[in-house]
Amino acid sequence: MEVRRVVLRPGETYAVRLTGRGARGYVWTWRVTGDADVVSVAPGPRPASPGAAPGAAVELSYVVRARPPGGGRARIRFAQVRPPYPDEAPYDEYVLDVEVTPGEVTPGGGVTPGSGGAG
Amino acid sequence: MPQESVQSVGELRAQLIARGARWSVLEHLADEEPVPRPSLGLEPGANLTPAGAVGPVDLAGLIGHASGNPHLTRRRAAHGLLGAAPRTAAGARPAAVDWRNRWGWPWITKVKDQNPCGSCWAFGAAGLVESMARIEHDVWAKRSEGDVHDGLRFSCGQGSNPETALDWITANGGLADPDCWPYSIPPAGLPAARRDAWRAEYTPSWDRSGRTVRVTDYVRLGDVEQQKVWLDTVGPLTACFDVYDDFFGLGSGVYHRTSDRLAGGHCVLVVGYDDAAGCWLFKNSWGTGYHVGGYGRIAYGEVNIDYWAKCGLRGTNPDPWTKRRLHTGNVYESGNGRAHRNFELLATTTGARLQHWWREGDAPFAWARARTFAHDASGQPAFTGTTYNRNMESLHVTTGGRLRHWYYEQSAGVWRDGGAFGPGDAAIGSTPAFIQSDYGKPGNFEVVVRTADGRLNHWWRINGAPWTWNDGGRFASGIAHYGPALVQTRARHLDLVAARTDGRMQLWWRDDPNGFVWRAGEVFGSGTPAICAPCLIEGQYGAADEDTAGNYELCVAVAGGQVEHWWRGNAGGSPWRRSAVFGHDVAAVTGMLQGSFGFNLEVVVLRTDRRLQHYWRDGAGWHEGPVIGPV
Repeated sequence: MEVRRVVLRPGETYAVRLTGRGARGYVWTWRVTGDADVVSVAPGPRPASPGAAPGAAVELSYVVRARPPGGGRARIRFAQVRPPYPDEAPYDEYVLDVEVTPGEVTPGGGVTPGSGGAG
Repeated sequence: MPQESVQSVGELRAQLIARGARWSVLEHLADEEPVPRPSLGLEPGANLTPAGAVGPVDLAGLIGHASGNPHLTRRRAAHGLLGAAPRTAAGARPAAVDWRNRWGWPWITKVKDQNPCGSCWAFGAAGLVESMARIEHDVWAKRSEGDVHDGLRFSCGQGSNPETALDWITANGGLADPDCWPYSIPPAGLPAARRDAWRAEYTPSWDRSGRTVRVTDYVRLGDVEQQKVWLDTVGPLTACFDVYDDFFGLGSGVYHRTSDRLAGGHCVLVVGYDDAAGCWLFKNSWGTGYHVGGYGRIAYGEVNIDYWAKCGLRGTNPDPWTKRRLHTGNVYESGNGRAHRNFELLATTTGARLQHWWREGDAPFAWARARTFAHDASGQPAFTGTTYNRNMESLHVTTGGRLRHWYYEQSAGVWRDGGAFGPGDAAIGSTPAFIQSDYGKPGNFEVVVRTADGRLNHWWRINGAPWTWNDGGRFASGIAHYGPALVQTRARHLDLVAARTDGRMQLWWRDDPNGFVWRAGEVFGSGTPAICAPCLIEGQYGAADEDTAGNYELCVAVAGGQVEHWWRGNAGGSPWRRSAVFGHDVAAVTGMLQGSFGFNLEVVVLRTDRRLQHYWRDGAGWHEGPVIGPV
């Protein structure tokens, strides 16, 4: 399981790229622990993946945004699972530790490109 | 409170209500649980044909003939697809078709799980082959998705499409069973990063050519109305579509898209349609946890399901391994002939020789003589097809009380003497039991023959060098008649039924886990003494699915020259029951099978005038067929 650490200022975002296996019934879910209020997670724009065949894996992105006023640490655990089979181990997992520094919202807060999720 | 995934099941349910959706989320998911995400869908690929590029096809040219399945023949007639019958325009097609159960029979193999590989396309294609073998030949033919997936050298994560799979199956001698080469997944513990790249090294058993359901061609159908006619008159279709986030939550109801987030491209097997609900019925390959037991419904035209051509099959040719429990004695159904359902028959003729007879699988179903061979046959032979390139194999008791093996080499078209072996005191004039078991690959030959002292003698051959026959020992006593009545059960042990000197019948079984000892089983009979060896098969009645044992069907000639038909329910554990008495002037039942004719039972008898005659049973009972010829 891959673990990454990132430091963001309030308003700043970090893009996580994960391998999607939706054609096999898998979905990425996530859970935020720690200072859960300092970050938000949302699906990002769909990366270009031309001509993917049925069943093939695709690239997905998720955007982690640091929320004001900052000043906290959160752990985001992404798990790729099949919802009807809760007892199955996740196909893949990815953990992002986020430290959000205290401060005001960064004007036009940029997106820090990241990557993650083996495979 | 920890923050969780943005869209929960509860939110999806609210979304469905807001958009007036006609489907509901899986009932077992709680509102606070997450539902999918992903992205990307089907895009024009190298070997996935848009429906618009196919257009209407000539259905009458493709399927304008009688099917082995009488129900389908009626459906084709209703559509005006047979001969000069008037074409019925509107109203011929039923409002709904569901192949899970038509005419009181199941036709679709169980829902499987491709997890964790991207092999939906292989599962769609394999499901199509399985269902068409069942529909056209009335036999469960469990196939291996791994055969085509690994035969194509695809990795676990590699996507493809059913057309690529069907092209490979067509060009590579068909699709094998899981015991020849299984569907396999990355080993446990392999890191996720390496799982998608993992591939199995394809090494099927070397008798693969004898254990594949062969396919000559497949059909692309682009026209939706023709797809429905095909579903009504032929069978299921493969289909591919885009998967959106909300699809993972599909439970009951008719799916239509309520999400804009693409999650990937997917392929399934369409097993029916419902015009009233406006949807296709599909069998998914994500296990039984998704949708309703693994089956779902998608509205016509949704998520591009009608954008791509759907693929259908006809003219499947099942292998002898698939049909190994469905015949016994001197007759079996080979894959020869246009309809791949010729009957092959061996019988004695003058000079202690054996005469090969055959019957074409299409009307007028005339019997014809083929070649003669051998010179020392004392009685009717046992005849079967094996995984050795689908060779025909014959075994008879010689005039000297031994056993002699002959085989028909398909590639050369000649009968070859496989040599003599055996006890030296086999009952002259009797027929041995002769099957191929699943011990080893290719499976061992198993033979049981009655000896002159009223016992039973088991012989077996490992099908590999040095190809020697081994004496498996003698058992039982007081056996009056024994012959073609040996079956390998789903639990792998051997069952046989013999007629005792008191005129009753008894089952014997081999206790493999405890020293391969033969043990006596139940005794049954009507009180009218058996006068010949019983014929025993495991048929398709009672086989609710591909993993369930069918009933035993047994026919035996009794005093008075009639045939008694007995059966035992293997799945439900019901005891032996006599279901019918039929025929006249019968000296012995020499062969029996359940073939590709609407689950009919077919029996060949030796009459008291030394001629062979065919009897058969359909839903209306037993019928007297033609006299085939002298022995």
